[in-house]
Amino acid sequence: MSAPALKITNLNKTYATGTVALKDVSLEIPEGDFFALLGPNGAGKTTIIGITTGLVNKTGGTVEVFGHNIDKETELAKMQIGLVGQEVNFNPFEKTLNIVVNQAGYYGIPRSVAIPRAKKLLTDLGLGEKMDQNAMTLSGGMKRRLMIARALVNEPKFLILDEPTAGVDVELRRGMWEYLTGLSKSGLTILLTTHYLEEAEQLCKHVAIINKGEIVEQGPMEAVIAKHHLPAQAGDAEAVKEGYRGSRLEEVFLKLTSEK
Amino acid sequence: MDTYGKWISFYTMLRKDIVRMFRIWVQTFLPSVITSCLYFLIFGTVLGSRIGTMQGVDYMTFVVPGLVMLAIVINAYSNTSFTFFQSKFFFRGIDEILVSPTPPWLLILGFISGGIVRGVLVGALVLLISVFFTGLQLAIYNILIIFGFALLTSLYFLSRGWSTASMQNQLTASTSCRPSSLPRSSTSAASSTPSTHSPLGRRASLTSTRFSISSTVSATASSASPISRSGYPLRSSQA
Repeated sequence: MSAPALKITNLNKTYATGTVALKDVSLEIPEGDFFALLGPNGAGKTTIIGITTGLVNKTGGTVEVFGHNIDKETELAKMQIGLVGQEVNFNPFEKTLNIVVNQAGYYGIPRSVAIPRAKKLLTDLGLGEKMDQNAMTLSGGMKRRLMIARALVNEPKFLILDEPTAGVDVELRRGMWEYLTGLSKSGLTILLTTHYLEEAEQLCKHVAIINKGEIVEQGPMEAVIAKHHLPAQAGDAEAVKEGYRGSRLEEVFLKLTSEK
Repeated sequence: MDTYGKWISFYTMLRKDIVRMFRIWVQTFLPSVITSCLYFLIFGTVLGSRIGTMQGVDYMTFVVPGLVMLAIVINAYSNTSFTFFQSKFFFRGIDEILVSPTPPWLLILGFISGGIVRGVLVGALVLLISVFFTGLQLAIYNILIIFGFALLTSLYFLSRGWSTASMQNQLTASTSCRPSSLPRSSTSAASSTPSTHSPLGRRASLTSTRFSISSTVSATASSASPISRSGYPLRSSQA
């Protein structure tokens, strides 16, 4: 049996300010999974991602990516990962193509390989005509797609998406989800954090809900929903139709995160 | 990542920085050229004609090493401090390297190499201009020593630039490193090795009035010390 894409055991993080961000978090994401990590703002999602990708130091616990411990086999672990961060973090004065090609370079991929790969990714993501333009000329949605292209250029086995669709309009968002679903079907493991819970419900096979640094629930999506979903009430159907009620997952999310 | 992969990563960082400095040449190369021209015109031509000779050479020739050194110091310092500061605090571009398998020591090497290239390039530009102002009378006794000093001076001051950029958390309280995490050697090196050693050595190599071995040794030691320690606060600060 192959190692899980991500295995987190008793992960703790206390920031220098004294803020306890994570308390004994344990998590396992099987290979090929489309996994949703959900939680309110400040729950610890980005801290988990930061520790996994090497952007944040952990206080305790272990993290393994495809069996590679991030402390002992850092390079091997990082080779497996592609990260789409929460915030746009590239130099806006650089050309779109160069941003992707340079990222490949940091993974030791020569330019002769990186350039055609970057061009294909940018074309697939609808940025073919923007390759030679500075990143600052891109719209918000295009910048997000550029970040996805950059994260995929090293052909990772494990893609981490930290709120990739924040501020993206409905049409573009749907296009991005279709693209990512295609990647998931091709075998790529995806960890997603998002505040669009109805989309997480549709896309993801497994879910973990984190609140105040603790995992309050995790498991297969349907099982979690079935376990916590509120019984139907009179008028629910009409309310959902009218847009007064959110998705089933949203109800579970609110129930779990407001209880704490 | 194997050795070849590391080389590609280093090359990518260096190439990116060089492309950047040439793209904004008006900000990177031109100011030093203009400043040096003004120095030559004002201090060299106007004042220099009244001063006469200094240590056996005319005043214009005498100031050349200092101006070359000034250009190297400013450019090496600002390139590293600005690039690192911008990358860590504004665009967060450093994250794209930190998430990659590029080891931290290679990241530091990539940053400092860009500073060396800019320092040496601008120094060479100013030296070329000085040839024009001194009427092709500049005596260069050993180009290798000049290059060596340009390299060492760049290395020393870009290290200082790195330290300065790393300390910016004092200005932006919520981010960056703690001052206590900076290597003590960086501050002790600054106090124990007067930066004037390097210009003196460079002047000696140009005018051949004297050459101080101790300058070279002290400059090398002080240059290397701030960057020799690993564990720079590259990651997220609150980390």
